[in-house]
Amino acid sequence: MLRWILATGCVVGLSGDGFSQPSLPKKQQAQLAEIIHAASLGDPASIVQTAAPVATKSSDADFKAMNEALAAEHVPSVGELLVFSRMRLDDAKLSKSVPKPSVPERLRMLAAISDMGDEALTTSCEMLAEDVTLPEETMPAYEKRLRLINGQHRSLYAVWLAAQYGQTLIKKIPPRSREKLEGADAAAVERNTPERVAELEKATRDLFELQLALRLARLDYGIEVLQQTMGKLTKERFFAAYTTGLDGRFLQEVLIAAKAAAKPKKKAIKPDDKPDEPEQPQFTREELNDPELETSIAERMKLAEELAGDLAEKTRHFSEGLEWWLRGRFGSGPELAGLVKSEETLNDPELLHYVAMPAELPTPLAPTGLSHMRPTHIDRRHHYIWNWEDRRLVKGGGHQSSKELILIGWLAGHITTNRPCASLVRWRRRHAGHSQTFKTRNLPLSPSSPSGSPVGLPSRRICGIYEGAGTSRPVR
Amino acid sequence: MEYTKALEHLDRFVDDASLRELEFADEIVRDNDHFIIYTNLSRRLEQQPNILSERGKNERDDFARHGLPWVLGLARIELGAMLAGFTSAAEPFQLVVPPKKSPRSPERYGAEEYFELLLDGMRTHYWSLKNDPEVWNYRKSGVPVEHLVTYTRRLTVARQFLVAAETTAPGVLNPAQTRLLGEWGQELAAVHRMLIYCLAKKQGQERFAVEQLKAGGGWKSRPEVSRQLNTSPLPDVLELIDPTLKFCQCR
Repeated sequence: MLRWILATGCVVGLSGDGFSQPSLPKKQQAQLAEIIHAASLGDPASIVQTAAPVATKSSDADFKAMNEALAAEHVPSVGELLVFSRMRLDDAKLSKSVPKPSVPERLRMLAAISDMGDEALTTSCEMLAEDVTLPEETMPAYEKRLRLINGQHRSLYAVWLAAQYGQTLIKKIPPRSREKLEGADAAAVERNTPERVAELEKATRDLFELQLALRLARLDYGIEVLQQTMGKLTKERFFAAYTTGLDGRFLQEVLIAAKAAAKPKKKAIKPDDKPDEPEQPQFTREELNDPELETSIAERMKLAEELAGDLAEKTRHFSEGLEWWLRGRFGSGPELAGLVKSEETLNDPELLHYVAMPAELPTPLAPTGLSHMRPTHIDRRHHYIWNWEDRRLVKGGGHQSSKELILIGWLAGHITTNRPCASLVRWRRRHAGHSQTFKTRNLPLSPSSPSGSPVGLPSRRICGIYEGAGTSRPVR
Repeated sequence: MEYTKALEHLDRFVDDASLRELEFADEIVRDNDHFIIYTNLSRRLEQQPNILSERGKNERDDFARHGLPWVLGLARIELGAMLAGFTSAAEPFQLVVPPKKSPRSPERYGAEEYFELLLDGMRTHYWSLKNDPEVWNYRKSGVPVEHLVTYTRRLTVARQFLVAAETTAPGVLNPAQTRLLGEWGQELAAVHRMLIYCLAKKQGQERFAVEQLKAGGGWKSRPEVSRQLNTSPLPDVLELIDPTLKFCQCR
């Protein structure tokens, strides 16, 4: 890796732009630099190779200092990095490419999983307590709320998967070692119980249902706005023309998928058997269990379309255009510090539609100096992209792993697609245990479906036009 | 793909929308900080202000630009640069210029903003290369192998920006600016030529090596190999254009 850094002349983050941590001893600083570099490349094997020794050999105090230094650089903790990297390697069946986790590393990962779980559950509980109530009923208020819920939902989903992984980690700690555990180590194991996994699953489901309820409320509010503003063009009408269609389609798709998931499996028919009654999807929220809901949504969508007239189509183009633009500006692919998509897109064009978005869209900063270029490729991608010669720098996982990597939330953020993606839906249903779909024919009005992952977006330190092979430096 | 899809939808919207609807759309974009676009990024790299430098609207201009035309402009520039670097499109920026509102109307929505971003990109690439001492030392030091592809691409992108700046809006630049643009173009063309020269030689070597190995001949003795190298006519053609290339240290 160091060879690569030198070869490209790209001294990643060590060039005095606030990266160095003077509080850490030299050896740890070097380890820190390697971890940050591996994290910025997004290569799970490199992350494990650089972070595992730190997790295994560091004292508690050193480990804490290292995590604080990483947090200062907006990089997830060592434990979190290891959890998601090892999960990714397991999914890609590449776990043999790195050493097995030692018992101390397992314990650090378990501690990270329980911390992530605590945080995610606390935030989710707050959101669930607020329910669908809004401080004021306006389109921007709905938009903001949906964005937050969606983001949290995806974070929670990733943590839930991590908690499942935690169970396999515990199983592999020899019973004798487990008996000897004390203090924080013992707590790390005790906190990762099957009950915790179930709790996370329930919260994930509840949050998703809250999102559905909120969309249902926005659909009704949108119709109200369209009725009240007939013949006038207001900003609320402009928004409502789009969201009514979007919410209606989203709800319809979820209900159809839920119904399909609830359908009993076919069995051999005996002469005296009664035909199977189609089961209604079981949601926790009563309003979603209404057997007439699907029909009623279709009727409401029709009404909204009539009320909006040609504005519906126009705003659809506007909103989808902006959403694609945001994905272009802030989205990251799984390779080369987020600049490019997986090479597997060559075999599976469906993967072209997936980019990871930051949990919260950053506001671009005034580029007054080089130190303000973070995240780096927000200013202009063309300042950086030429620098990557080929894709051999990072070896990613296999085909399936790319999808799963995105789904487990490794690359923080929301993934939306405007194309049906049956395999993804199947995968997600299998793993999520409840009906849910990525299939949204239309993209949200603005980033209303972003999400976050507990790992956050790795700090991206890449070479570009300002730090090429030469010594380009600003003169003024 | 993201910027292509963005343009596909937004251009359609601009085409269909009424003036009032366009105003609403512009307002929505202005209200959202995620759509802020900073211009004049090149000022961080410029050695000294020159006639192509961007001047602020006033002394306190922070070069933060808001609005739908800027959003469209950035998408076009990013897409054009991508086409320049990674495709064989001869005039990549011509493919992304703002379309006319109607076939008869000369008006192009966002054309001014697009051109400003184009010039900024052009200046940034030029000054970045200009400040890179290794690039200007290639003739003596030779081109490191790991620079061959990346720097050839970098120069290709930079030169396409220059060409686009010259051709996209004829008449916008004054004669002095056009002259300076021409000088910059020649400077970059000389380096670009040398990189292509070295790249062609390198490719010749690699192709020959692969052919030898495929034929089962293995590696031959060095004098014989060197005689059979560089079967591509490109280095010879480039030497005709610039005879000094012969003395370049292609590694």
